[in-house]
Amino acid sequence: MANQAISTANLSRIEKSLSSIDQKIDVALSTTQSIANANLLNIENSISNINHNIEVVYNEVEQANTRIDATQDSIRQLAQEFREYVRQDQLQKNVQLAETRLVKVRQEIEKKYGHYDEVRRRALGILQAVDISLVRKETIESASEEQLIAAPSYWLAPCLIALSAWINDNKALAEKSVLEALRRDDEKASLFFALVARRGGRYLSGKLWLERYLSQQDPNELKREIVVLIDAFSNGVFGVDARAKCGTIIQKWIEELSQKAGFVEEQRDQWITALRAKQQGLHSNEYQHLAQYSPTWSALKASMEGAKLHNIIFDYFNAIFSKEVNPSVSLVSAVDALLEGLVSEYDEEEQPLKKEERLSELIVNQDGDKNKAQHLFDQEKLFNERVNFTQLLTNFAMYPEKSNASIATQKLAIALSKEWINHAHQDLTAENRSQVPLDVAIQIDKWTGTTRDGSNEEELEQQLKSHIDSEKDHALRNIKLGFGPWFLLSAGIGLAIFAISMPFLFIFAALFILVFFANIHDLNKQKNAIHALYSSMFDNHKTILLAVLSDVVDYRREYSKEDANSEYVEHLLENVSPEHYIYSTYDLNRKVL
Amino acid sequence: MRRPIIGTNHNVHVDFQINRNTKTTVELQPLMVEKLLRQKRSTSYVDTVTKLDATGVHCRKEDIEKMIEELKNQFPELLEHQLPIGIVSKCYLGKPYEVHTLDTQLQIVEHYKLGSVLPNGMEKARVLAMNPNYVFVEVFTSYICAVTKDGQTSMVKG
Repeated sequence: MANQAISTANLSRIEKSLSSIDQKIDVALSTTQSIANANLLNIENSISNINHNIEVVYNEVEQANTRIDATQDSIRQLAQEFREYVRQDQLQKNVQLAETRLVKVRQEIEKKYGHYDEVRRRALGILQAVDISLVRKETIESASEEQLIAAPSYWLAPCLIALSAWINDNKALAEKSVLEALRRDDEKASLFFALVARRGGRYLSGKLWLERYLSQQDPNELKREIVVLIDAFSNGVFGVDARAKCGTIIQKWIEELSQKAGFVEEQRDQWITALRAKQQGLHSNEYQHLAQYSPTWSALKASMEGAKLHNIIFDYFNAIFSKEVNPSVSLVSAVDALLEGLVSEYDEEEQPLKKEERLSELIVNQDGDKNKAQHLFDQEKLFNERVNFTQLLTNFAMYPEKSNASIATQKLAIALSKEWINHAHQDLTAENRSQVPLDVAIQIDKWTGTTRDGSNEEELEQQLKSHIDSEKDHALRNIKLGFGPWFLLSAGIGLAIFAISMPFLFIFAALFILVFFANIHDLNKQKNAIHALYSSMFDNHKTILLAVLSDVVDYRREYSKEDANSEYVEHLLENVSPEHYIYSTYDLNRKVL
Repeated sequence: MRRPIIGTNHNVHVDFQINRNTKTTVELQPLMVEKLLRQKRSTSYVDTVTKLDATGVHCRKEDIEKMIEELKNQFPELLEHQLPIGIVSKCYLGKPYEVHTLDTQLQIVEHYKLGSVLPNGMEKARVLAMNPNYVFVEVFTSYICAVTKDGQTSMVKG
């Protein structure tokens, strides 16, 4: 009985224990479930936060990239502007240095060779003094002797002694001083005496001196003072005999040079360089839209500059041929002008300084661009000790001031060179025509198109519209709702379902759904802004496109007009003949060539 | 027996007639070639070349042979490899054709549409060939020669 009571008591205790354990398990289970639910919500919240943060960071990175691109563009532009500033500054300094150098060189020429001027003035002074018979022979004699002492190596000094001896009828002294003059510079002295004899009407001795001078000339290596002879020839200073002789010699020189292989090509290249030097740049306000929106612009610009060269060349040659040759009032003054040139311009000692002077002049003319100035200086070949006859003709025609050529000589030089000028001009024209771009590329932002003559406006407009539309679509595709709004929507819907049993959740559900629709509204606003942006972009680009096409039409029209001017140059040169440009102003008899 | 040296009645015929088609076998120096190329082209040569597409898209073989013959007559001093690589001129067949070429090596005439590239370095002659101032352009290895209606030439190096 007692055992039964104990076992009943134990059983009931065990049951109680079990039920308490069961309760504890239930509590534990419910706690675990609530913990799991709570954790899941936390995790979801954290994930959405992380997602949001990533989006924020992504947007910031995008903005940073944009800013970096903009900064790089600015830096690039700044660097370009800085480089341009440095270049301009350097050019300005070059100009200042060249101007300073020019003053110094001229002073040096004056200082070193100024006393030659005295000799030069006396040479003409003696001749003119004899004309008017106002100066005593003794004065002339002593003045000449003083000059010989003052300029010990100068070729003109013994020529002065010879002149004064001739005036004083002192044959022995005259011969001695003539020999000394020939020893110092045979060519210049011969030409000097030829001109002096012509001035004094001594035809035979003049002819002999001229023949002596001509016999020393090699058409491949002529000295620069030959311009005096050509000037005398073209201005009609020489008599009939001498002129015929000169004409024959000139023809022979040209024929002799033409026999050389490569001569014609050399002439053509020489003239191409000389003609190209006349080319001028386009004004910066011409074809502004084309310049800004066409990658082809540099080629188009070069072609237009080349086409405009025809008119420049025509005007240049036409101006020369239109100029009146104003002969000196008398043969005496004509010869005096030539003598002045002969004694002033061609002394080799002065060459290095004269070269420096010319180079400095070119640097100033080229706005400080040393390379361009050096290139032009090398092409001019004005200071070469000896040049061939045709190079001289080019110099007379293209650089008259520097080669001291008169208008008559320029005309004659162009007439003699007309065939080579024409060849050079035709080749330049063909080269220019071969480089005209057939198609003009257009680039507006990221859109590119091509046109030939601006007539495909509709096609290009369509292409531009397609491009803008695809850009717009791409931009619109990037505008979409992130994870957050969709999560809010689903949470709102979920809460609305739970709100059936717990009505207070309706407030949260409505709030979430409201936030979602606010996002949708924002999205639509952004899309509308993109539509408006790309629509205005299209309008703006279309306006630019039309402006560029208008420029293309104008360009093609102007190019055709300018290119057609090439014919005028050819016609002008075709009608030129050397015979028309040999004057016989001082002849009493008719010119017979 | 001695060989008779007179009265043999052997008639030796020496022909001093120069064959018109005799060609030089001496290669000219580049400077001389350049001088030759600058010469005015003959009227018959210019006329023949300008009729290149007169028979339509496909040229007759005999027309092409005649053209090559004219070309060789125009430059008798030049060796085969010094002759033009080809001749390019504006195509008058109308759109879509733009230019046509005579390939002197292959002896074929090809018509090219807008945008298609000319072979054998002939592309550099395209713009000049389309220029109304020239009737055709000869393409050499280091020059192109643009020829006007009256046979005058302009040379562009390159």
